[in-house]
Amino acid sequence: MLHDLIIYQKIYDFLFWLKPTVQRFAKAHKYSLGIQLEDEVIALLKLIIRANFARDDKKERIDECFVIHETIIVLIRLSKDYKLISIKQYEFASEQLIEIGRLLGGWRRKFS
Amino acid sequence: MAQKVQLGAFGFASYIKRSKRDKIESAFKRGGNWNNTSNAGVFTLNLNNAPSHVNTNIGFRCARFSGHYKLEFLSATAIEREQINPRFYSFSIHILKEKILSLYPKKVRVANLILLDWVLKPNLTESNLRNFFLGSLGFSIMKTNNNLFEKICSFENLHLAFRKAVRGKRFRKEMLEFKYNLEENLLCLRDELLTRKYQPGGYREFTVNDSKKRQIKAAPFRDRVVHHAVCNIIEPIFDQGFIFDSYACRKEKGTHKAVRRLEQFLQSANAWIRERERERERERERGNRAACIACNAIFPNTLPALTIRFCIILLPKKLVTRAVYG
Repeated sequence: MLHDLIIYQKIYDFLFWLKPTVQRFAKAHKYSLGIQLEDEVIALLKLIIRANFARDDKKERIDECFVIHETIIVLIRLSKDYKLISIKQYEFASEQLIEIGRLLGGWRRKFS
Repeated sequence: MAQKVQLGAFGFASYIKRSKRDKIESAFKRGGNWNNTSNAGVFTLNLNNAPSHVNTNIGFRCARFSGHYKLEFLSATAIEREQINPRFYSFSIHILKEKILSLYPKKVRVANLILLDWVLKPNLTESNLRNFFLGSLGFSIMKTNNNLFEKICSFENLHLAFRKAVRGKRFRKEMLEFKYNLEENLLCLRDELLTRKYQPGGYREFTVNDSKKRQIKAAPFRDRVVHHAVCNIIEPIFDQGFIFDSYACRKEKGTHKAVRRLEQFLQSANAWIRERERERERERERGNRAACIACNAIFPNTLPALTIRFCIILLPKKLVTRAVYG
C-alpha cells in the first residue's frame, strides 16, 4: 500500500508543478502540447488509482502506467526541444519523472 | 635514452626528452588526431619526432610573431656560423613547403624562413622563453579557477555535451539507445560524477583500411559525453592562454588560417630579400645570395626547461579541482 501512496503523492506534486509551468508556455503550444501534457499526467494519476482498487489484474494495470509514463517523458523532452521550458526546469521534471518510474518498477516487481 | 611522458586522458602534452648530453632540438607539433586516444585532442603537444616529420594529423607547429620582437631573417651563412644542424630547418609540413615553393620558386633558394625570431637570438632571456613555452601549451595566463568540477557535472553542461557528442551521428545504434532514456542516462552520469563513482568504459577496437592500416579505439558513447562535458568547461580557460599563432585544434584557427598567416610572413620576407639584394648590388658585393630561412620552431637546448614536473606544477594552478585531472 505504501508504494502506490508515494507514487500518488509524487504524481500529485508533479502535476502541481506542471500546471503553472504550462501556463507560461508560448501560446502556440499552450493549448496543444501543454494540454496534452497535463492530460497525460492526470491519466497517469487515474491509472494509479485504478490499479490501487484492482484485485486480480494489478500487474496489467501497472503495465499500462509505464506507457503513459514514457509518453510524459517524451512530451517533456519535446517541450524542452521547443524551448518551452528551460534546462533547469527540464532537469527538475526529469528528476521527478525518473523517480516515479523507479517507484513504478518497484511496485511492478512485487506482483511478478 | 628517450623518455616519453603523457599527461592526462585529454591529451595535455607529450614530449620526448633525450639524454642530457644530447643537444636537444625539437619542434613543437600541435594537435593530435582524435583516434590517438590519450594523445588526441586540443592540447596535444608532440615533441617526439624530428621537426621534419610529416603527418596529416598535425594541426600546425607553433610559431611566434609578436610586437616586441622584430621579425628577423638570417642568411644561410649565419646559420653555418652558428653551427646549427640544417636538418632542423627543413620544413615539416609539406603543405606549407609546397606553398612556399610555388610562391617563390627562384627567389628563395633554401625554402626556409624564420618565423621564430628568437631562435638564434643571443639576448634571449629565460623569462621570454618560459612565456613562449607556456603560451604554446596554453599556460601563459595563470589564473586559478574554482568550482570547475561542479560546473562540469551540472545537468545543463551535460545536456550541452550530449548535444555536441551526438552531432552528425544521431541515428547510430548507440546514440539512439542513449537518447531513448536520455534523462535517466544524463541524471545517472551526473550522480556518478558527483559521487566520484564514475568509471570510463572499455574502448571498442577496430582497424580501418584507408590508405594505410590504422587501429582505432572508440570510447563508449557515455564517455564521449563526459569528454565533451569536460572540454566545454576547460577549453575556454586554456584557449585564453595560447599564443596567437597557435593554430591546432582551436576555434577560429586551423590549417587554412595558418597558411594565410604564413603567406603574410613570406611576403615580408620577400621584401626583405629584395632590399638585401639591392643593398648588395650597390656595394658590389658578390657573396652569397640573400636567402630566407624557414623553420617552424627550433628550441636548441631549451627542451629541458619543460619537464614533467613543470607541467604537473602548472596544472593544479590552472584547474583547482583535483578531480578534474586526477
